[in-house]
Amino acid sequence: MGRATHPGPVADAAFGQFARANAAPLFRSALLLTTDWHRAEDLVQDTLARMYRIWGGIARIDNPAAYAQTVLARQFLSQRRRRSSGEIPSAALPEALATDADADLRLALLSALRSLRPADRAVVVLRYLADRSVEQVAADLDRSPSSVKVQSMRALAQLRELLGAELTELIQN
Amino acid sequence: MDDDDFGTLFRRAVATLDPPSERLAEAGLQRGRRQRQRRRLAGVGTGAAVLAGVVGLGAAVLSAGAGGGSGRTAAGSGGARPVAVTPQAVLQTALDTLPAPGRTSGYAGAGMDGYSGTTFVYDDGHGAAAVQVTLEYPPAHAGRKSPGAVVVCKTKADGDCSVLADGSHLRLRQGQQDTSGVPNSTEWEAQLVRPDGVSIDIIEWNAPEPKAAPGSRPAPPFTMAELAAWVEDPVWQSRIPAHRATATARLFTPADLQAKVAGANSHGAVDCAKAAHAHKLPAGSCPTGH
Repeated sequence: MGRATHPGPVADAAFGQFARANAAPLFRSALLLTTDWHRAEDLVQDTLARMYRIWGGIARIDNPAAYAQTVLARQFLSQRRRRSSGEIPSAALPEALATDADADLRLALLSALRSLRPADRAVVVLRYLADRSVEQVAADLDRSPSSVKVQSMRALAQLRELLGAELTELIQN
Repeated sequence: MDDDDFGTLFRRAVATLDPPSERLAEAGLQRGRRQRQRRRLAGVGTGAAVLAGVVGLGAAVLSAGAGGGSGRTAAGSGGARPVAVTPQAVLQTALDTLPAPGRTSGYAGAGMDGYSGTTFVYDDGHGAAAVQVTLEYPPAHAGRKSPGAVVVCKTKADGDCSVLADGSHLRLRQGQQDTSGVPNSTEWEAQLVRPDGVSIDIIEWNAPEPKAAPGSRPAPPFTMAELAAWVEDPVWQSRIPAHRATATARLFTPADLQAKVAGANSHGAVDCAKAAHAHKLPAGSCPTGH
């Protein structure tokens, strides 16, 4: 991606294109992080806003789409630190969350993810949805690789326990 | 199930989702623009020139942050003599930093030593909503309470309390405006008490009046995240340059508070103290003679 001058209509148009192309993948990560549709929307907007603010220096970032995922995870943990630990998912599920073919799988996973510590959730979402290595996640979240490994193992063990036999069935269906 | 299967599980769980990408992209862009503008304006001085335009508009149409004015007073304000913040200056700061563009009207407020509060009606096109902003700060003659002593979450009704990295205490609450035990309008609140003793409390409703008005929309206009970011904005200051107090003075007079509530009350016999009570302002905030 070429350097975008900032601010200006040309840069804004380029950013708009980037934002439209990346809103959906960011939202998918955000949903697994927040486990709530509305919070996920809010997190995506915060992330895009942050990306917009740094857009002028974006040429120094090799892969803005990948970097946006890093920003998303950091924003999530930052919001979590600033807000109360109380996490109340919306009572009403948007139709898109609960009616398609993979709805059961999705709802089971969201319910299980909700039980994880936020930091562990961020680790597994970056590892298994964004497909990042332990070292990459460690750099993303400013942790040591060994700490990321421990968090990842702990989170997966918890997910296995929470989802149990249902897991294999959900995947095979 | 081995570790790699989790990749399959995670991807499949969200692969068929169809989020509102266009809306999210546009909202992210707008939020970024506002944040960038606020940062750029930090320390640039006050928005007296823009303010004059706002005064002339009455029910002003304001695009949040788009006017170029700012209530920021912490730096670069030209060495103007600092005075205590006024309710009108609190209103102007609120209008300068609205989380989202919208039409505003019905300006009112009151103040006293250590307290400045304002109310207004905000409409983003989805229904008019009352918004109240209050700034409380330790007056020179008063002792300062620790933030933790002011922001207290004893019961669920108080909301959720948390401590920020800078030592500020934040309380977020979603509840109902309760009248005689009958909940009516929905009210959402964010309160921040900073280590410097300044308390910023913003409440929004899903109705144009906190009480005695039917709901105009399903929920208040701003999200809890937006409310939290709003109270955390360092723009809220208890001391402002004297010229900003002068420039904002015409936004409303204390009588506006009386007129606002009297207009909503068919009996009309409402004095300033009742008006202040209806708007959750201290009774002592009314000028003598009312």
